[in-house]
Amino acid sequence: MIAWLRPSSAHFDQVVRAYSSELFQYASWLARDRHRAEDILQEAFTRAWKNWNQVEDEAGRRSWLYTIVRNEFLRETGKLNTRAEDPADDEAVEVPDGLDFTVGVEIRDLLVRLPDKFLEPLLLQCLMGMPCEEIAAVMGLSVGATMTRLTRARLALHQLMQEANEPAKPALRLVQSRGAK
Amino acid sequence: MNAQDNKQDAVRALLTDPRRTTAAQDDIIRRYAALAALQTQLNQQNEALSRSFAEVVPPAGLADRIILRVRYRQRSKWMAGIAASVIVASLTFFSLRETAAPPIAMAMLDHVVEEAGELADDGNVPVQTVTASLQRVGVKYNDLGYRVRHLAECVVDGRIGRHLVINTPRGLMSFLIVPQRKGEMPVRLELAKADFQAVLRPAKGLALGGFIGRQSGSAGKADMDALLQKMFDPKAGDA
Repeated sequence: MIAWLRPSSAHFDQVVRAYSSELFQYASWLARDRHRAEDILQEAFTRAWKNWNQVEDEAGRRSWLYTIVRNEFLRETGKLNTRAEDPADDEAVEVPDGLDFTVGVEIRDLLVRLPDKFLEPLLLQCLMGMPCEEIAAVMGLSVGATMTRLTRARLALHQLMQEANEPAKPALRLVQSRGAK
Repeated sequence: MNAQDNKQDAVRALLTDPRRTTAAQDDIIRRYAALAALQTQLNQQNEALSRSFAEVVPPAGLADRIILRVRYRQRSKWMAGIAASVIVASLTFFSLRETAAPPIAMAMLDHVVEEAGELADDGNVPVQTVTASLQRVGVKYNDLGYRVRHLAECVVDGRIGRHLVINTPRGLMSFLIVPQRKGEMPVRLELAKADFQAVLRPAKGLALGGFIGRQSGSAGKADMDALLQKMFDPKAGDA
């Protein structure tokens, strides 16, 4: 690489130290595996180093890194060239009346069951504090599609909360009572 | 737009992001107790989500590993190119019998030269910590009573090893323990670069290295070799 195209090592180090922890959390939730997350991050930062000067406005550095980590995850899982948009993102969301989001169950148990397409925007919003526009940029979606995705994500979480709060099914109770003695 | 539509829009806005509503939406939310309650619940759920997401704790030394690996990869490409040119030129013109030092050995020496600042680390790492850390890379540490001023996980040629800086009677020395692939560094080597002298030896799937700078001690290569063998026993670790 020509010297003047190389990023400043000090700047690169500073950015790695500033963002590697949160990017690791992001990659861990995407991959749902800590070890794969570190590999993804290593590859992502190698790519970032090579393409450092693509970012003209330093304010966009963080989103750019998230996009690279995301693409690295998709590359690793063979999904890089699949469409980010979901036809459901264009459909109007039916919002039922009387929604109750009182947290009565362990959220972490529900997150395991939440589909990836819903988990990711919630992660970017709740943990990373990103607004819809930034989430849209990272995920390669339109802002409208991102808003729909977030609404659906919360409704999906609500559904999982309701299921978790439902009493055990009779057949299950029967098995449990037999086993209990 | 009627009141019902406004309410529906406010619910959608809350479900999209309960922390970023517009002033107009806030106005509607204030007017309906059910909407205010929903906003409170969603904010509480956001906090619960944040806590759950944040339960993933990044591993110690992550940033250092990334920085070292990225830098080493860049340099290794240059070095590989230069080394290849040198080897080709050597074979073509001089028919040298000696071979270049294995890349793992060069990478270890580069690491110590590059991280020379660690010699200034003046800690006192407990023996138990050193023992436990080295055991994880397959080495039993024999404590000779010297103060370990620095102990760190390090990345050398893309592998995780251990880097120690120890006060020995012959001066301040660096030691590196790095996993090696079969046959990669088959024999004992003596190398030098910048201010540093090095002795490296293969041992049970590992490459052990002792390093000393001219300014930091008077140990000769034989001293380093003896210390390497006395302090680090690769047979007894659990890796």
